[in-house]
Amino acid sequence: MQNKQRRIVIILISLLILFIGLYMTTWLIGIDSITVNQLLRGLYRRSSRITAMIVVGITMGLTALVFQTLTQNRILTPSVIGFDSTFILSQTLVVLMFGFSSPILSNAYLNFILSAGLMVLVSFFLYSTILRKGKNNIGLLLLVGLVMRTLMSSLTQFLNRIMDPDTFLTVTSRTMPSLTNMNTTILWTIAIPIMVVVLYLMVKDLKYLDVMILGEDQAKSLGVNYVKITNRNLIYIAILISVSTALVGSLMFLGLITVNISREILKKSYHKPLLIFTSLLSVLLLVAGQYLIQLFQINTSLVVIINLIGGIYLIYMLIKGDKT
Amino acid sequence: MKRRSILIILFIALTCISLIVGVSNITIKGLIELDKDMWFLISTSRVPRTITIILAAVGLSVSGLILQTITNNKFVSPDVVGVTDSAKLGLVIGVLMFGSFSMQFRLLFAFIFAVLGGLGFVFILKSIKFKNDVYVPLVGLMFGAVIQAIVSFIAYQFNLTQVVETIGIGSFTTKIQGNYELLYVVVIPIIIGFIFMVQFNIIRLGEDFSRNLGINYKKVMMIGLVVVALISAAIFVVVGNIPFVGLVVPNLVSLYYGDNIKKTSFDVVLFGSVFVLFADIISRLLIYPYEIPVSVTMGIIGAVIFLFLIYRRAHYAK
Repeated sequence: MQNKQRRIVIILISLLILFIGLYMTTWLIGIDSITVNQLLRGLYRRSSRITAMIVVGITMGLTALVFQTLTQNRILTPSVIGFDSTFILSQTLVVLMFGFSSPILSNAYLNFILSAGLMVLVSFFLYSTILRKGKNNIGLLLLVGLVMRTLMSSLTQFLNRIMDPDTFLTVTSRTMPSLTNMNTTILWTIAIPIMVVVLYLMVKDLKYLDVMILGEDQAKSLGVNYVKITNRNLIYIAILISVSTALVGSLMFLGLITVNISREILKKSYHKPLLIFTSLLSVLLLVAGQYLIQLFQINTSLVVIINLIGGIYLIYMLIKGDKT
Repeated sequence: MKRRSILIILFIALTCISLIVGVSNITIKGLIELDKDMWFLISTSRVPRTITIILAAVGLSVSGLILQTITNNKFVSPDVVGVTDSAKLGLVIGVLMFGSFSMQFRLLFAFIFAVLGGLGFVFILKSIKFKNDVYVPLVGLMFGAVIQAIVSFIAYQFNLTQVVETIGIGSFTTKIQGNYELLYVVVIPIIIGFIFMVQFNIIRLGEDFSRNLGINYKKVMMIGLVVVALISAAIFVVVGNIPFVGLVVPNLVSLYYGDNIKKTSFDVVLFGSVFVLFADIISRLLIYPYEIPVSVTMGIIGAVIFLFLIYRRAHYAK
C-alpha cells in the first residue's frame, strides 16, 4: 500500500515537471531567431506564472482540506459559502469609499492590504458566528453561505451601478483577474511572502486537525483548544483566499475536486499525506489545464472547465453516497 | 382574514404608486382633467410595466410554491435548482442554432430546456441514496453551476458572452407596450397550477401514500414540473432572472398561515405581488432619475429576509 502511494506521488511529480517543462518551452518552437533579452523576458513571464499557479494550487488544496475538517463536511470549500465574493465586495467598497483617483488605489500594495484586511474582518465576523451556531447543522451553514453569495454579488452589482464609469473600470480591473491575466505586480512582493508564511503556519496546525476530525468532544478531551484553533484557521483561510482571489480570481471547485480525489486514493484521514496529494493534484490540474488550453487554442477559460468537471464530479459523489 | 385585508390594501396602494412613480411627472389632477400626454404615458408605459410586475410576481411565487410542495423541501425554488439556468441554456442554444432573436423562438427553446432541466434535477434527487433536506438545494446549486458552466463554455466558443451577460439581468425598465405581451403566456400554467394545488399537496406525502389516496404520483409530478418550467422559462425570457421571490415568499407565508397550500396559495400570490411591487418601486426611486435592475434590489432584500428566516429557524431548533 505504502509503495503504491509512493509510486503515485512519483508519477504525479514527474507529470508536473513534464508539463512545467512543456509550458516553459513550447512557445520557442517555430521561432527562427530570438535575442537573449527576449528569451529572458519570455522565460521570466512564464516562470512567474508557474510560481503563481504552484502557490495558488497549494493554497486551494490546503484551504479546502482544512475547511472540510473544520466544518466536518466533505463537500464544502470556502468558496462555496462565499469567501471569495466577500473579497470582491470589499474591493468594491474600498474603491467607493476612497474614490478611484486616491493614492490608496493607485498604489497596488496599500489597496491590497486594505481590502484584504477588510475581507478578513468581514469574513471572520460572519463565518465565526455562523460556524459556531451551525456546528451541528451544516445545512444552516450552507444555506447562509449560498444566500451570502447572492447578497454579496447583488451588493457589488448595486455599488457598480451607482459609481461612475471610470471608477467602475478601476474596480473591474482590480476584481477580475484570471489565470491568463494575473495580477503580477503584487506577485513577488506581497502575495508570495504572505502565502508562504500563512501556509507554513497552517501546516504547523495540521497535527491538531488530525485530532479535531474526530469531533469536537473527542478533540477537547484529548487536550486540543478547539475554538482557538478553529478561529485561527478561519483567519488563515480568509487571508489565503483573499490573496489568491486577488492574484488569479475565483476558483470555486478546484480544491473540492482535488481533496476528494486524494481521499479516494489514500483512504485515510491524516492531513499531511492528504495535503501532499491534494497540492500535487491541484498544481498539476492548473498547469496542465492551462498548457493544454493554450496548445489546442480552446477558446475558453480554465475556470469554466474546472467548474464543469467539478460540478459533475460532485453530483456523482452525492448520488453514489457519501461514506463519511 | 385581517392580515389578508391588510395585504389587499397594500397591494392596491402599491399598484397605484407603481402607476404614478417614474421620471415623467404624472399627477392625479392631470389624470382627472384628462391630460392626453399623461394618459398616453400611463397606457403605453406604466400599465404594461405594472402588469408585467404582477404577472412575474404571481408566476414566480406560484412556481416556487409548487416546486417546494412537490419536492417536499422548503429551500428550493426554480432559480436554486437549475431550472432557470436550463432556460438560459436553451435560449443560448436557440440563438446559436437559428440566429433567431424572436421572442417566441426564445421562449420555445427556453421552455424545452427548462423542462429537461427540471426532469434532470428530479432524477438526480431520486437517485441520491441518503435523504437530507439540506443536500437538496446543494445538489440543485451544483446542477445549476454545471449548466452555467456549459452556458459559459458555449458563449466563449461562439462569442456570445455579451448576449449571455445581458439576458440574465432581471429588469422591468424596458417593459412597454409591444414588449411584454408574451408574458401573458404564464396565465395558463398558473391556472393549471391552481387546479392541481390539492394534488400537489398530496404527493408531498410520498409515492405510496398518494397512491393510497388515488393520486397518480408520476403524472402529477410531471404536471407540476411542466407548469414550473413553463412559468420560469417565460419569465426568464421576458423579464430576466429575479432571485429569491420563489424561495422567500412561500416560506414567509407559511410562517403565518401554515402549510395547507390549498388555503394559502392566494396569500402567496398576493404577498408575492406586494413584495415585487415594493422592490421595483425602490429600484426606481433609489438613484432617481436612473434605475437599478430589480434583480439587484431583490437580491439584497431577499437575502436579508432569508437570512432572518434561517436564523429564526436555528433559534427555535435549539
